[in-house]
Amino acid sequence: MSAPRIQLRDTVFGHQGTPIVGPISLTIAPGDKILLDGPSGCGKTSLLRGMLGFLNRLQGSYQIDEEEVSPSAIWHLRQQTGYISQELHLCTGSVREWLKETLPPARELHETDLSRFHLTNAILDQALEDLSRGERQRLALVAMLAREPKLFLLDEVTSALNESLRNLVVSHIASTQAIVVVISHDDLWKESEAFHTYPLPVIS
Amino acid sequence: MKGAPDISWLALASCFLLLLIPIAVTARLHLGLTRDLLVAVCRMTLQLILAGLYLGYLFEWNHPGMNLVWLAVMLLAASGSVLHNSALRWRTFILPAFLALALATLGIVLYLNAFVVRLENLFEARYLIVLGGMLLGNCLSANIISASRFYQAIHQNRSAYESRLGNGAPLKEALRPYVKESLTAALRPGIASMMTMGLVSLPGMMTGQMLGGSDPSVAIKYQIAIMIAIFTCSTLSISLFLLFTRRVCFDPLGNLRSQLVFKTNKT
Repeated sequence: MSAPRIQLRDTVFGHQGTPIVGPISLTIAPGDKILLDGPSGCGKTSLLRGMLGFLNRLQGSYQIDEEEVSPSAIWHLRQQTGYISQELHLCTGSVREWLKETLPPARELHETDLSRFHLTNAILDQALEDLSRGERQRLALVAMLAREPKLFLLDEVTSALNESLRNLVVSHIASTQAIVVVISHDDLWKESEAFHTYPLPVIS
Repeated sequence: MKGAPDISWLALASCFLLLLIPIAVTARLHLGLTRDLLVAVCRMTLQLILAGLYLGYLFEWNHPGMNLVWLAVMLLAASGSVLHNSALRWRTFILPAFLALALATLGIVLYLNAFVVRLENLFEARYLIVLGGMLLGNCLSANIISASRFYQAIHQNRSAYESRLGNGAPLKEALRPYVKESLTAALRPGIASMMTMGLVSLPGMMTGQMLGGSDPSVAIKYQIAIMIAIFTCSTLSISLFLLFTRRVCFDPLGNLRSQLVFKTNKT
């Protein structure tokens, strides 16, 4: 299964007929690393939601692999996606149970997966609600990487980490083969050579 | 064994004197409930007098088709009541609510009639209508709690729900935590009620049967059967209701169609 090629041409996404983000023209090819830039409220999160089919396309074109999107293409895209939202929802219950639901049946987390972002096996026996925000962000990243998605959509995933962990995360994400679209106010992403910045137009 | 002695209309009227106590309390504490209380008592009295009349007529006639029609009328009223008392939109939910309650109630009542009470005529008015009514009355609150919880939880936790879908979960899997939560909330009171039955409460049906002259050992058997039937009927009707409404309430991409689901337009 190859990475998707996504093309937006003058695309406006919205809800119940009201435009929320756009018009956007952006091509995302396999291997691309993009940092979405723009002031708060300009629609960065909405663009990710629009790409995943949670908002309606009101104008323009939205193509995946040269074909105009259909519901089945969106479901397929979601299967290839690792999406970590700003609000970071990991539900409640134990970490182990959550991982069982999140990861593919044959995949388990190993010590090496966890230690990549300075986590240990001890976290598996903790309750999700007892984790700090930083631990939750790192755990969400570890679980996402274990799924090996082709497209990462990451919304403020390093906001609760200290500088050395942020560096670790940014350099690891930059070194992957996946397509990455990041929203972050952290300059470390901007400073990474792997990422190019896409300034989002403010909707008029 | 003799049945319960009849209560004369005059004697029953004396029972209404007891209402002076709640009326005095509500008036004294300015609860603002006096008017509602009086309307509710009048409605209850009138509705039960009418129920006594039509049940007497239906029991005497005992026509299977007519019994089923009457059960359908009760189901329609029950479905309407479920929706009236919830934030859900009548037009979207009335048919799935009716079908879910109809399949669950009819299925369970016919099972009780065939295998528990072992009737020759499975559509016998005395059992079909009375047991059906009892199941409906008891399943209603579970259905209201469950349906509202389910759709409101998805609406209020939209971001968490989208997160599951966005990571490739199929619709069924993305909905699972909300199905679990709404079913748990709806079924928990039934479990709690069974835990204490006979210890801290004597259920209405059992006491009614005993007042009517039944042997307590017979009355408890009916009560056990009806409690199991109520719980099963609740589980079945809620599950069917969620299953039937899923097709209508989510678009092909799994997004909740809020404008079809809720009475007030929520974005």
